[in-house]
Amino acid sequence: MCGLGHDWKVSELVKQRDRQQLEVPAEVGQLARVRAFVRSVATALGAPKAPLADVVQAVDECVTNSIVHGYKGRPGTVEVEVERAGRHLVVRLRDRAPPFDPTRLPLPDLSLPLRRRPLGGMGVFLARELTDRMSYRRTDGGNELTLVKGCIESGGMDDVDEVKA
Amino acid sequence: MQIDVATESTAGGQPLAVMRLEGELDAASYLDVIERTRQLAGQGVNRLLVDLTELSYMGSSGLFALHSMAMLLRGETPPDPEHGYAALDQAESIDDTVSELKLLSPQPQVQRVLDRTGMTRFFEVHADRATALASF
Repeated sequence: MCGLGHDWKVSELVKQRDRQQLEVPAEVGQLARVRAFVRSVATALGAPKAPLADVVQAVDECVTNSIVHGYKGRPGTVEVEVERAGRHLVVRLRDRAPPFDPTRLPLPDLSLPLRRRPLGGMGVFLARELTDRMSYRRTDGGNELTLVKGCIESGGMDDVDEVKA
Repeated sequence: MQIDVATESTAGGQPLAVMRLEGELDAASYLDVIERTRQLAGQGVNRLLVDLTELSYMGSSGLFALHSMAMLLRGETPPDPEHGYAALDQAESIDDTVSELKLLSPQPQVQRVLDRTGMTRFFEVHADRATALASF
């Protein structure tokens, strides 16, 4: 159901009931592929266009962060897992970069004039704004970030309360 | 992502460029947009209309690019993104409303990014090309 028209390798794409997974090298050149994967899977899981665009952007911002500020050019991988839990779309991002908890970053001050505004730092803010919940946990040698967005009309499986971060 | 640049001039004879972005602007492509602007600024262009009609996606790297581009058009030097957040956070950038760089026809996702981050306070957004060009 997902990945039609894309060149995912079978070994990279683990299909389960309502969950799909992609692992990519930690390179910014892979971001388009990550976005296409999330779009494809979330569409197949029944996510409408507008909230889907929010999830795609949130994933893009977080994976960018992992690649650029986590791995900092060192080789590594980022794993993207998309699943449906009831009306919610749940995306888990895993890497093996040094510890970094984006949920603890201070929010940017949007009232600042452009002269006083830092040029960066908007990615994590956007990811938090565009999702309903963002949680972090340090794993054995890596980071796992979970993004949750309630956007699927018909129910079916678990509710978001049962989604494990 | 594809970048096409056409050069024009304002009613007052000032050099003006229209940069048309097509595809997706993300961390893999934003440096190309900044570099292209750096070249234009080096050629004396200090007014730029960025045509977003065919830009289907913009990440926060695109915001960084727009901010850096505005600085370049003013003859200022944006910080090197390779230096990471430390350099970005120390950057003293530009004043409020940017008159040198304007935006044309962002798609809904791009418009939402601009809105949510407060960037529409600084960059004029036009829906019509002729009106946008005449506004410089």
